[in-house]
Amino acid sequence: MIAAVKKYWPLHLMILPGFLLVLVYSYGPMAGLIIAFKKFMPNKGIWGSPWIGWDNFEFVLSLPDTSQIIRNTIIIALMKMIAGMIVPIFAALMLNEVRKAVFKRTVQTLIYLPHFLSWIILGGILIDILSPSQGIVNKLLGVFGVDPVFFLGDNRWFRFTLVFSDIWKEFGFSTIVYLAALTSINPVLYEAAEIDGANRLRQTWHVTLPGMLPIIVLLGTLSLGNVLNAGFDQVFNLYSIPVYETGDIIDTYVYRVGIQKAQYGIATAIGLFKSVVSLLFISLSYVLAYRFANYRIF
Amino acid sequence: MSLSKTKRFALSCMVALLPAMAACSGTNGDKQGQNDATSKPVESAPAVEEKIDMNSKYDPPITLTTFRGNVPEYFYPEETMDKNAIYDAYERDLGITLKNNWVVDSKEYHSKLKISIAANDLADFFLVSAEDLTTLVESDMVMDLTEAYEKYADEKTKKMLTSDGGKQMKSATFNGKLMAIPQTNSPFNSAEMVWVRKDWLKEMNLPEPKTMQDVLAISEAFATRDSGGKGKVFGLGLNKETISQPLGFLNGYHAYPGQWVKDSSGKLVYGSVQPEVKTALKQLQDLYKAGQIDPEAAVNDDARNVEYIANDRLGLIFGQFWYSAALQDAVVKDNKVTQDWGVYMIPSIDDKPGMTQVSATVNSFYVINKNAKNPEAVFKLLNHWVGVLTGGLPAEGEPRAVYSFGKELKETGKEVWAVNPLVVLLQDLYIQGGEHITEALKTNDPSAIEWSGDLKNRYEQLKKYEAGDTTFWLQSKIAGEEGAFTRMYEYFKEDRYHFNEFYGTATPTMIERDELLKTKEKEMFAKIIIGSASIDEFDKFVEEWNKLGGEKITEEVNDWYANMQ
Amino acid sequence: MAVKVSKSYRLFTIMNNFLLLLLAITCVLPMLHILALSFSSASAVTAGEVTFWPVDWTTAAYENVFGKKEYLVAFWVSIKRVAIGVTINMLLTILIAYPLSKENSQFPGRTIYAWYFVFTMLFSGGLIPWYMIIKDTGLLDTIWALVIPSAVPIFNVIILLNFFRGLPKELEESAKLDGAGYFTVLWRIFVPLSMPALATLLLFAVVGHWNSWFDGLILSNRTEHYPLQSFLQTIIIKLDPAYLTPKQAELNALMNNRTSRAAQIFVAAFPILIIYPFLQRFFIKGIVLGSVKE
Repeated sequence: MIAAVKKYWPLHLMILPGFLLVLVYSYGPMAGLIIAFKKFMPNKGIWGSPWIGWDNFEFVLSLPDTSQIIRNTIIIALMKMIAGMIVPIFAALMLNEVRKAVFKRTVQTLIYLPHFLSWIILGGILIDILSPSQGIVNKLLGVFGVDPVFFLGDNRWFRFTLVFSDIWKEFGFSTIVYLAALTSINPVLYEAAEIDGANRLRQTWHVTLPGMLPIIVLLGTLSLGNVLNAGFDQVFNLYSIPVYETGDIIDTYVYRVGIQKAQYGIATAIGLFKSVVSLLFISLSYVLAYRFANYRIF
Repeated sequence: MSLSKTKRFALSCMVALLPAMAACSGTNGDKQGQNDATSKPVESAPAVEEKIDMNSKYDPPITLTTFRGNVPEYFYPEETMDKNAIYDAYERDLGITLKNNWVVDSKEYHSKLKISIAANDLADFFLVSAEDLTTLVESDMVMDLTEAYEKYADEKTKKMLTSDGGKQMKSATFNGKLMAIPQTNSPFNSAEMVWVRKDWLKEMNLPEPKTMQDVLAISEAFATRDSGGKGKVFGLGLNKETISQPLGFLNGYHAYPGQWVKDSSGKLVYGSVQPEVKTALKQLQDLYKAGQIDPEAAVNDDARNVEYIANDRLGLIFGQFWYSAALQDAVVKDNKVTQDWGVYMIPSIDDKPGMTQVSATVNSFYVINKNAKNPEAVFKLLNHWVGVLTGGLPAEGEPRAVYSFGKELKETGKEVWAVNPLVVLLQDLYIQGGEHITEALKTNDPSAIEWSGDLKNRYEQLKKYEAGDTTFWLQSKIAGEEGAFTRMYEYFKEDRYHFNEFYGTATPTMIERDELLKTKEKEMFAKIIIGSASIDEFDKFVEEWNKLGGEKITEEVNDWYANMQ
Repeated sequence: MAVKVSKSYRLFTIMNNFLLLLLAITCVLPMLHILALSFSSASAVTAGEVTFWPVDWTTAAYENVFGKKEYLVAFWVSIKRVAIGVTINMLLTILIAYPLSKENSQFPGRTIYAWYFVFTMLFSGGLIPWYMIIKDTGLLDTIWALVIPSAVPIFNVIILLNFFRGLPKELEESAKLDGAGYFTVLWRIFVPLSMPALATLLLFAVVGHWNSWFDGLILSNRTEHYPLQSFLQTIIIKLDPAYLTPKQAELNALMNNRTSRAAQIFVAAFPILIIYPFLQRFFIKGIVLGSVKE
């Protein structure tokens, strides 16, 4: 044991500073999770507040419409997870085919732009461009003879609008990670494939995709942690009463009925619930990846 | 009974304020004579018989800590919320050194405060919202001020804080104990009015909105207008907020959503679940179906309505007194006023006069930390401020002018007074404005409003507007002739403010269920208006409201009411 | 290679470039819209006349922004934050990713460490406990409050450790034979070979620090200590109507200046637009290194 420590001490030493910071600033506050089971009273503090068992959880479950809200959350989150995987992969592959460096670099910069605009700002812009009467999108659709669609006010469209706009805003981010992975694929592999007579499509299939696979699995697994995160900021800035039916999610609902009133017990209970679900999903995929592909995600 | 009670409240407001105001105009009429008495209100005012001498200066100075929300526009260059002429003056005149534990942007004040409360990291005294006050009182973190108020608040202060008959003080009282100093304010400012394009009325030969029938006729007629290729014209403006709370329109049907009103049996009932609401919502639904309301209203914020207005696509909307401020950029183009707007009182659907709903309670309070060492010093600040507020307009350059105007010691149009650490406001300032400003303009004699920096400032802006400066068009609709202040004064004279009969602190079930019920209510209102719920679902909503806690709340409210009798 | 370009491939290239161009345009339009707003007159903006081209050209909004002391102060805080925060982030990311990229057999305990870090991605104690720890450790209202609690970006660590794993094992082994220690291997071999990944993570770290606003609002006790995005937030957000008195509503309506807001949003995003293409050069460099290493 001591010999092992002796041999590996530089590795332990490398981790030590990060380990300590995480211990203090991430694990330290985690003790506060017990608020989920307490009636939090500021004067008594986290430790002194009285225990109330599962009351906070029961309160949330007792709210009417809970099942509808959970269903909305999962549907929106799942659609975002799936589209959020596929779109950046395609974008990265397409960019990879571009030979002109300047064009490639320009496109790469531009698709990252929406990431810098917060949902508060984008919300206003989207309401403008998606308006059925004067929005540019519906005017374009009108050219093709499509009747105006009320993307933000129609329950049939609202979820798709959320998913689409979210992907549009964020796909630049993952695209960059995939592109970085692509640059590390050994060019020799392509040359070999070409000698074997593989065309670009086959090269993509047999060389590029396998080269990207580890990072795809990695990002996919990490995104599983978001199975209950449908995106508070986005929904909050885009939804309106007529689309509560399809667009109201756990976070917005709890915000309206609980958080605005500084009910930290309830907020923590919900957070804890979401964390446990995420942990289950991530653990499961970690184990599966290791069992069947002998691959450790992290 | 209901009417007479409101009337009594309104009258008591007026009566209680009259002496103070009379004193003011006296001051102004006879400035030289009064100056000696008022120039150093703290040091030289006659001592009230008390154990602690409330008029002495602390020597050595003591320190009071507080929290502040910052508005950069308050300050002259080189001044900050920590270091400014007003804070210096408190040290000079009262021996109180003010220290800000934190200063954040005023929009962030309440979120930062919530965290300070949760972390139990409080200043000596600070401003809180009604809901945070409840938290603080429940957690026993603030001082019971019942005795301190009796002992330390001087007569002038007491008179001012209770000039509404004591309702605003009541909203700071928990189980008979005064837990905070209410930041008294005018309950009348939230009055709703009808804003309408007057040039269109003339052009189309339409009546002014004297009845709700007129409003409906105007909406119908406006909706047929041609904007000249800029898009469809709508009759009545709603947005994503007002579509779930169309207060002005509902008030015209004697429906008062969110208020507790007295029914025929003398019990209090909740306004949002009354049959009048149903009638009014049905009418709005019909307007929506007829295309008189923007089909996208439920999604759009008010900026869209202003855009419609700028493009001649909307000319009728309900709004509060300041709505012309939102309209300014739409109406004034290239320094020219392009539209003529009129402001009117809420009309009525029948022969009873239309009333506008306002609340008698206040939204903000000053609390004193349970562990504060010098609670009496906070009352010194309060007495001092009331002295400033009612002490008449200081002469230019006078030392005490600093509290009203900052280091320049004269009116500069900046709202510097807001830097004072503890500020309570007159309960009927803008009604006074409605009564006096236009008169002052006509006679060119602003003496009746000199005492108020706010009103005086508006007066000056109106002068500039008359001289052709269109940047102040908005002020002409607020404080000018036939403007919003005039209407607020008329409401007052004609006793057309509809007060919430419940002005206690939130009942237990309210605290737990209020937000949930409000959400349901807003959802139902909006859905009925846009037609995605039929009007019959209103009855279902009433049932559900009762089941989800409304019934319990009604009981609690009536218990409170019985106690108040 | 260029010789054997088939006809269908050329067609594909054209389509491909066209689609990417379209995609890029949709992404740039909102920013363009904001830029157009910032150079237009207030009444044109209010009337909704501005889409992608300024109406009644004016630079008043920018004069307003750069004349504002608070804005410039906040800008400076943000620059300090990025400089300090990103340095710490990158250093710790590299130091943690390297040991964790080892197999359990090469570094017993790495899996425990890995879960130790990943766990914090999923669980957090919530706002109040977090605030209290930062206050109790004396960081409140200092620049350190904005960089120390977020010093370890776990997501970046995981990306980098996966990248490290993809590097040829032989390089490390031969260096070891030459007597190099772990630190030498990391700095001399792993870091230079990971330039594309490091450039990506650097970008994420810069963007992360530049864009975050919530901690700045909560952890600063003076408005002068706000980083730029926190300051912007106070301009962009609307007051919660629950706290809004009619008097405040009046002030709010008066200050509703969309052109000035647009200018501030644009100026705030500008530095990243400058930095990004610069970082991209390292991606290209990564390719070069990749081919050299054979």
